[in-house]
Amino acid sequence: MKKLMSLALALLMVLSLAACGGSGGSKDSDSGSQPAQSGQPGGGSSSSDAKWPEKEIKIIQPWSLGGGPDVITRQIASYSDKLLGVPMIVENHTGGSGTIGMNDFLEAADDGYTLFCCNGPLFSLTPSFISVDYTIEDITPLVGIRITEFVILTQASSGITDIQGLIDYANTGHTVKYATTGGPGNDSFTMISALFATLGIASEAVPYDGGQEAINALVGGHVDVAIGSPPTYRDYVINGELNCLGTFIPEGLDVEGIGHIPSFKDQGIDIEFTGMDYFAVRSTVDAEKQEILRDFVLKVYAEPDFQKFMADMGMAAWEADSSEILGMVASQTEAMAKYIPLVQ
Amino acid sequence: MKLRYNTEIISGAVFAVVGAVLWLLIPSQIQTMEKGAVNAQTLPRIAIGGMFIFAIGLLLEGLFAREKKELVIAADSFRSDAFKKELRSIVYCLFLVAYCLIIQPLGFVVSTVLLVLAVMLYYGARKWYYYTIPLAMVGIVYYVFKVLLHVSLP
Amino acid sequence: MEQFLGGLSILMQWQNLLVIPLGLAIGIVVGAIPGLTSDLGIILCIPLTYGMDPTMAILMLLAIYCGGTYGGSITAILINTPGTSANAATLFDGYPMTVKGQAFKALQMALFASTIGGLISAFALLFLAPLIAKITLLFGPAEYFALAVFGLSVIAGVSNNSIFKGLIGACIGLFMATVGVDNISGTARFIFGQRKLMAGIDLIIALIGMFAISEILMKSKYNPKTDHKSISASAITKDKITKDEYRRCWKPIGLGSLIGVIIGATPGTGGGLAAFISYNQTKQSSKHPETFGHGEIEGVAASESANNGACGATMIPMLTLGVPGDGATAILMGAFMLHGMVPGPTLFAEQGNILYAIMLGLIVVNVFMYIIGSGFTRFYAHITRLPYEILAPIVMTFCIAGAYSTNNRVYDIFIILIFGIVAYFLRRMDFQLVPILLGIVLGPLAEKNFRRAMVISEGSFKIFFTRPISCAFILIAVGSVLLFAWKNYKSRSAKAK
Repeated sequence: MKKLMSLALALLMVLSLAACGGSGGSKDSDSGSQPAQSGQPGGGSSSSDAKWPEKEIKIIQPWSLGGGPDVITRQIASYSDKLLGVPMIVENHTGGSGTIGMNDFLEAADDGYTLFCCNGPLFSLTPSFISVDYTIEDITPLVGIRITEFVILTQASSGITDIQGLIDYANTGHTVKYATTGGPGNDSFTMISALFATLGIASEAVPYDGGQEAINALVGGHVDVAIGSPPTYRDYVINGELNCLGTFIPEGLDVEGIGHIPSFKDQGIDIEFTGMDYFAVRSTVDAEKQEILRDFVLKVYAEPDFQKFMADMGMAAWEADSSEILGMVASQTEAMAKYIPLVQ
Repeated sequence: MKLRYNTEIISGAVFAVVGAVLWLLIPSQIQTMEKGAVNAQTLPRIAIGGMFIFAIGLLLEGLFAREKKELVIAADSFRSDAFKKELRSIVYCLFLVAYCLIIQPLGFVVSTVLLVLAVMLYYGARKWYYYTIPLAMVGIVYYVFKVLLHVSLP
Repeated sequence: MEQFLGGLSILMQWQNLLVIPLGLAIGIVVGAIPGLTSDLGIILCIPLTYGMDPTMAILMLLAIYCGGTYGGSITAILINTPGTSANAATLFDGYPMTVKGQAFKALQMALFASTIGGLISAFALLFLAPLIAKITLLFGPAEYFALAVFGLSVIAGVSNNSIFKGLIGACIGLFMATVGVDNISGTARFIFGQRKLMAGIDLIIALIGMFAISEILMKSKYNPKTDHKSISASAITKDKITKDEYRRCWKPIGLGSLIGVIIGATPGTGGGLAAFISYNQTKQSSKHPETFGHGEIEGVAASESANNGACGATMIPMLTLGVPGDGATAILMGAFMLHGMVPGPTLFAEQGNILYAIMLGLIVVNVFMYIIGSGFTRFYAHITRLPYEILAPIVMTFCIAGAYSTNNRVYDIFIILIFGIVAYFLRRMDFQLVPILLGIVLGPLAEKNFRRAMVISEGSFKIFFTRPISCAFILIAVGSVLLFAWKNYKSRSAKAK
């Protein structure tokens, strides 16, 4: 089903590509009358003139439709027509814990027309579970998207409201079954498994495809615990159907309509994780094009409409730059070295 | 030489071999790191094992329960009508294989026009205006995909 | 009620009533070309909807979805190749009817059944969505697995002469579904070092190869001098559905629509499965099961009412839970988000007026579908008059273009050829292709949920029997296989006497 969707999205992309090729042509004729500015560094040659981009831009999204990163990415992309003059299309290339999307992204041309919705675990975690042939050197982070705030949830009817409650539940002879948003190599899978390994309670993972499915499995009562990130669980917590037990963010989390969610650190458990999503391009893309794309995203973050959209979903945009992101990926890789042996 | 056969014997034997080969390939083609009893190899094992077992069942059914046709292989059987008909379907397959090989260098329009001509000559369409409809269709498909739908074609 | 009326007033704008026929026409044409599906039609038209208001945009896309699901039956009936995967069950009796010279009648029944199924589905969406959403949440891994097993039990009914051949076919399908990266463990399976296989084999590609290419190869012995029968233009449309046939078809259509709604509302399944189950149930409950597969009009009615019956229902989990029911609704979900509506539990509260306009619009879509479809049916029926030496290259051209445009790679043209040759061999060996298709469609559903259920139950098979819905599905599956075996045994012993 997802394959169908991605193929269809690919076609959509091609269609708009051609459509925009047509409209872009007229813009070209203006710029064609002025000689291209000289003195620009080589590499991109003619395409690095002031009129870039001139055709549609594609964002490869390795996560499924409707999840947190997907919703935000699509919202950002919808500003492209207005701010860049070309459409931006989101294609979901799901599967393989994000590696399928990553490979498709690295196979695309390095002309700046293909972006990737990247995250930390693709470098810090996935290579420990899946043989990959990419490294952090292959990509350049452009700009942050958001901090992923994983929250552990239970059904309200279970009466479990904090980690101690869950430990007590496990100590009465229950094996805790928890829904994750992906299989081994996925960040949510690793962190929740590492949490239960640290706590030393009997538990088993039930991998689902994507955040919404995992939350629905919990709401339907098929698992005891689920891991979620905004906005998938928010409405259910506000309705009183689900309880938040805690978050991996070390300083805790404040969500509108829910209030403060305490961190596991505050509850005396030595585990922390700050996931991050960010846009990346292949590291061989021209610096000017990277700058145009980065500018575009930052402009979107400044739009009042976009800020309202994010606030409504209980999230905030993350304006981190390239070096900050690379630094966080490096420290996450270090931390993961501690957690991975717990779950393998 | 005399052969007694039916479709059960042929397909049963073919899938028993295919099943056995795939079964032996499982460990090298599915390198899972899971430790549980149910893992990434479970369904492939059920499917391939099932294929093998049912193929053996089909083979036995073919050998003992079903009527068989008799095939006498002699020098003149290669000139028989039945043999020529089989040969025709192989020729047909070869058209398609050749098409796959030329589509990349020649592009959609040229290679598809060649395929259409080959298929129509193969069927022996005599009237010239018969050729115009499918050839026009190639143009229409190209136009609809490329211009109206903006879908790329090779 | 207030939202209902608000929705009605949004719907009654003339622009909305204009885009519906347009969407339907696009959907029917796209659905009727092998290799182009309603999914594709929706994708291609999303950019056209950028400038429209949300109701108009979604209604147009829904019209493509419904039109495409009906349109796929046209190719299934006329050239023995399902236009979309939802129409595969229509092959059983649709094509034999064409062979008997009843193509027009079959097309008419497909349209009629599709319309009724679509209408029932639209009403279910309108009145029962919140209730059905609650039931959908009760579906856990055990239930999904049981549903998949139930779907696989259809194999017994569709592998006419040899149960072994049907089972081997299902195993082939299950095997092919495992190619690619396994989503639960992230393990690559049977990719033989080919990175292009990591995402698995596309269902559409498999369909084109298995049905269209193998059909062309089957006809390689066709001789235009002796095999072509010319039919006069007037004879084609003369053979209409009789009153008695309408009366006979009410039961299959009712049953099919109901099955369509239930299966469609279950995420991850879709119209194809609904059509198979409906066909199988109709055949089993019929007083004359032996006529099925030989051009029985009730068979066309059963499968076409079910796949369109699923159309509206697939929207239920999408709108209420944010989980798409099948491929097309996944794309529709993207379109909803593009127009500022995020499907999920709060959508009804926040965007009620627009949603009611869309749900009411779906009823209008189905009414229009009957009117527009009637026009197309007359035109399409004449395709059967084309000599095969002309039809074959045309079908080939469409298949190749469709296969290539699926993923924009020549690689897929090789894949359809390989599938075509393998399927040709299987058909020469008297295999049915449908069990393979069922294996491909149901394999992933069965596997994922079996593995999840085994974790939840801590390795005990009891989970499939202690949960009522799951147990019911498994009992029906076992029951229908036994019933089939019993009927088979009886008809054989009757023949022996």
